Amino acid sequence: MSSTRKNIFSGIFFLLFAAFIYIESNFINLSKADPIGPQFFPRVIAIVMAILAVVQIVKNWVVLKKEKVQQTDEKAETKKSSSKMAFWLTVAMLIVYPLVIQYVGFIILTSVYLFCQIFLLLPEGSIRSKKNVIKAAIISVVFTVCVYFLFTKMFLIFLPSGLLG
Amino acid sequence: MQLISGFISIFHPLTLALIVGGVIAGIIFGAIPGISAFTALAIMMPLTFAMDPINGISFLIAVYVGGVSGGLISAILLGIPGTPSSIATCFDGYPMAQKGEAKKAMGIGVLYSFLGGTFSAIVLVFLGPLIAMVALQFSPYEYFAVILFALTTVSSLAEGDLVRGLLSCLLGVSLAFVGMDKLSAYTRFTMGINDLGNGFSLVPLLIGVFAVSQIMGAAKNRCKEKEKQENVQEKVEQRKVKGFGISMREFIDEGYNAISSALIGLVIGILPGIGGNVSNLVSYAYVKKHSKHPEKFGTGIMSGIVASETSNNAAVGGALIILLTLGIPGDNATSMILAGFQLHGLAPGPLLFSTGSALIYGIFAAFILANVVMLITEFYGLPIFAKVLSIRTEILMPMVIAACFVGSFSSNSRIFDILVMVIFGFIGYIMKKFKLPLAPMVVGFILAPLLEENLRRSLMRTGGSIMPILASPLADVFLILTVVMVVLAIRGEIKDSKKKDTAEATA
Repeated sequence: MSSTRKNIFSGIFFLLFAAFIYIESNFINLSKADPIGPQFFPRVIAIVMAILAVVQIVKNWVVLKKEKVQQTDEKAETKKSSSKMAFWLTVAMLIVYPLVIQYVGFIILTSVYLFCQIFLLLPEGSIRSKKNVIKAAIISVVFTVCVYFLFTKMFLIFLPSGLLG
Repeated sequence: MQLISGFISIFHPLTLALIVGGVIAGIIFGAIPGISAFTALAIMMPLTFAMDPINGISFLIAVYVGGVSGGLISAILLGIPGTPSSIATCFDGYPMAQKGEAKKAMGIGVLYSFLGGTFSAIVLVFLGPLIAMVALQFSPYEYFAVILFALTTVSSLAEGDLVRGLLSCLLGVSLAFVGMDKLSAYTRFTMGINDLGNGFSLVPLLIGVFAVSQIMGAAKNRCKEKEKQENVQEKVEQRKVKGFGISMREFIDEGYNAISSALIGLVIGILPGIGGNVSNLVSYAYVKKHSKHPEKFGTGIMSGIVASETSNNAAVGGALIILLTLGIPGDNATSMILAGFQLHGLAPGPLLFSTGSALIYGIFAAFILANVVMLITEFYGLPIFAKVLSIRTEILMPMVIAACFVGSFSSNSRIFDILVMVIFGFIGYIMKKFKLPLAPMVVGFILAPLLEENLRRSLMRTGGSIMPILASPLADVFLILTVVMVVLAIRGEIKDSKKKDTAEATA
């Protein structure tokens, strides 16, 4: 996606978002004592946002039309060596973490997370080396245990203990 | 006088130890490329829960000072800025290191970081109470105008164009609607989710947007092959240098550069939305332009380092001025310090100067002391800090995120907040992809309640009419400044697009 298209896309998103805020503001409970009320400000923001979104769309629409006329060879964009798998696995892990931490506990879950995340960031294939695996495992466990005891014992912040508790 | 009592209040073994520890931790994190002063603050934040307010906030400020300065180590040794605040330090610092003058370059960098930081600290001590005194007289009208000005400034100065900046800012403002309405005590926009009754917490939102989004980006761009690592250790020990490696003569010659860089840093720090990240580049450009020999810049001369390092640390004091006196955070790092205040049930702003002046002067003292500690520890600890650079970021980043899990969770002991952090990490990632600046979003989120409250209080007073607000001269000044800011931004953009057009036409 070119940056102009991206801008149009985000413009459309903000337009919809503004509409959402405006509609949702109808469901706010109103107090009678306050003449301006809790609806007023969100609506102002929604209207301003909608106007800006339209500006964003129109501005980039004009540019897009120009670009089409010029027929720039955008298809030849250099593709970065990006790894979609590592990205989605990272996102998945991050989402799963808060959902299961209560049951699994901080020490086990964080160690596992660290171990996996390290290999998702290291270059592909690093996991095949035994040395790397052992190193990462030691780092993950030691770091997690240190953090756990630092917080629970020294700073008296409770962390979910889960299975080990 | 009050400053002396401020020094006395931090003259406690634990407080002093925290300041020294904070500075050292800040320098270490700052030195590691990819970890900024903000990340350092995010990791250290949970440690302050159990502390007294003065200890906790002194600690955070020490981390901030160390974090901004620590970037110079990797900038000089690796040619990679450890934090965005030291991008310009690479331009001359790295060439100096290649000439075998790494130690001299770092000595100068540390010395001028100290001078810039101390200069801004002195300005903060004298100017802070004055601004707070004026701000204390603000009625809701003026406060509304000031916040509006701050939000517009953030939006127009952030990267990207004005419209995108404003849209980000409004996104932040609307995220702040979620939860209880302060004036009417009804909940809004919670979608029936009970956990949202108090709105999004600031700490998970900040950590998510700035730190978690980064690891998602890193996973996406992971490299296929191993990159070569430079041997850093050798460079530090190459040549013995006396003192900071700068003679009295050179020091006097650099005087003008240092003063102008310090002023640039201070002013940029005061403006919301930009801080050390921008000031180092601006003052580098300024010093280069006004130098007698601009052609030497980039080949490894000390003026370049002086410009960059003086201004980025001067920006720290500038940013603290508006944070402490008006409660307006200018960037991600100061937002985190604001969160630190909130954790202790404090709100920085003019009121704190009258109700908690002992705390304020304690913070001033801690800031000054942190600069001194930074000078000493960073200079003598250079060989140790240089070792940190050999740690691989691929291993470090997951650890940072693990620390972020703890940070988000511990602010309210709610697992829900970890989820909030992850969601905002994703939002931050998407925003970066769509070139929407992050700083306006966060500052908008933080200032929205104040903006709404003051607007509604104003309108309640006037019975819904805007005219009385316009009758306040001080409010007018800020409203006019807001308009000027928008006009300047639009003019700048039109100029840029014209330039682009002519460039395309000639090409």
